[in-house]
Amino acid sequence: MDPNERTQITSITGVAPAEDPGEVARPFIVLMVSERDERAVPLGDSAMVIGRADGCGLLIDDLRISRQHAKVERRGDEIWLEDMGSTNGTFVAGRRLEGPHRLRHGHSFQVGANMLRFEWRRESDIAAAQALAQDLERAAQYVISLLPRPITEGALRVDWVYEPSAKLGGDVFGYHALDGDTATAYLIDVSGHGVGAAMHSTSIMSALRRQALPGVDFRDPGQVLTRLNDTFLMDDHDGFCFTMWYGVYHVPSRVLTYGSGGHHPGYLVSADRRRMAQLRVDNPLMGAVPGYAYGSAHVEVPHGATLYLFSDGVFDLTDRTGRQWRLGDFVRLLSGPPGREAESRRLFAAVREAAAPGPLQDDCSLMTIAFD
Amino acid sequence: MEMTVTPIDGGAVKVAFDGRMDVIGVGDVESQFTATVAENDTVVDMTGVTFIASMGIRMFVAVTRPMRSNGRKIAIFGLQEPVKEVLDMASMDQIVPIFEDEASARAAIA
Repeated sequence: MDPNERTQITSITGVAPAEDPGEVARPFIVLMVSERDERAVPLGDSAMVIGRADGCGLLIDDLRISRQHAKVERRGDEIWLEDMGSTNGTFVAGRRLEGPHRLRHGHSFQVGANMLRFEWRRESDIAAAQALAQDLERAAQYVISLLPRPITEGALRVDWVYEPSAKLGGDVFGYHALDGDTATAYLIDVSGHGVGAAMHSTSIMSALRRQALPGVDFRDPGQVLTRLNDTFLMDDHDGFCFTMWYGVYHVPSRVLTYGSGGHHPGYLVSADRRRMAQLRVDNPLMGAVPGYAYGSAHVEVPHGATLYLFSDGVFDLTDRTGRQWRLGDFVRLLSGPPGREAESRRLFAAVREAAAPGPLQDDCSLMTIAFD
Repeated sequence: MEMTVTPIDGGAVKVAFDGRMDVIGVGDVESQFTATVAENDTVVDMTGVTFIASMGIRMFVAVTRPMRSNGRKIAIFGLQEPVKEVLDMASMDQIVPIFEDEASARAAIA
């Protein structure tokens, strides 16, 4: 292409939207109703009061918020948030507001049990966001369709929870028999969000499901991780890297061989819940270091033990007191007493209960494998 | 998240981050950080970082490989305990050199 021609094209596409009077960005306050549902209210010239009294610009039916709880107001090109002396406070990043706070595009705040976000939006952005949300929903449904069904009977009983976040992260997991005596389970978390991250994770999963890594013995976690690392290098895959845990269980010998790449441990908890083994191998995250030789380790599985595999979405959260959770906060839940529901459901319910209101920030994947 | 760049000895720079290195935090600084480390040997001061998510890890990993092929050096120091835990789990020390203090990090890129 002629360089001048390219310059001209760039300038036309770059400038046109801003000069279109119909395309002026307007401020919106977005109430996140659930993981994948939101209510966007445009902010006008006068202040928007958020509360549960009639007449509020953003009326939220929630007893934990005050009648007139907080207000958002436009001052020139800046948007400011202020608590109106509410009982339970207005929070930004877990901190209670004590004065006016300037909101920037994309930033969130919490009012009672509700998460809200401020965004500049154009009409075309709104239409695009709706289209994207539909794409994300479809991609999430596609990921769900690939996840194997729970196994309720036999030497290995597997149950799971998969809760994709609004932006759809890159979690997938699976398990299947390798031969008459061995089975594999794995969990993959591609770093990043959106359809791209999800498609990357499903293509990695596909290589495992179809055993499409020539020459690799899928009973050897070191071989599998080493080859996946070289096959899915971030330089060749749009900058996507991932963490994963991969294990192989040999039923007759009760030996679990496992490997991990940049992933936190899997946890093997004894039947009496008093002993907990961390199953992790000190290997870097996947796709980052070409030619890296991934190692593996093994453990003998006690009778009645349960293996827990999960993505960081189950602990990357802020709790109701505004404290950032860490891995240990989630791990503490593992030794809790079993509930009536499936173990993965019990844990996910405990995570939701502990987490600050509003949608979770990342995909939550949680798999439990109960051994005879 | 805030990012401050300060020149240090030997033509290198110190990049200090302050805040949460999550999706939003990384979005605030990623392009500026990538541009800075492409042209300078860099020590990264993480003293002010209270939290790091996988997007933060990805940012470091993404800049490290091109830096190495360009002969640029990078070292990280000053991890708070919660941040250290996350980077340990990701075995990040196998990808980016991590040090306790600024003097060691500076010595590593000198």
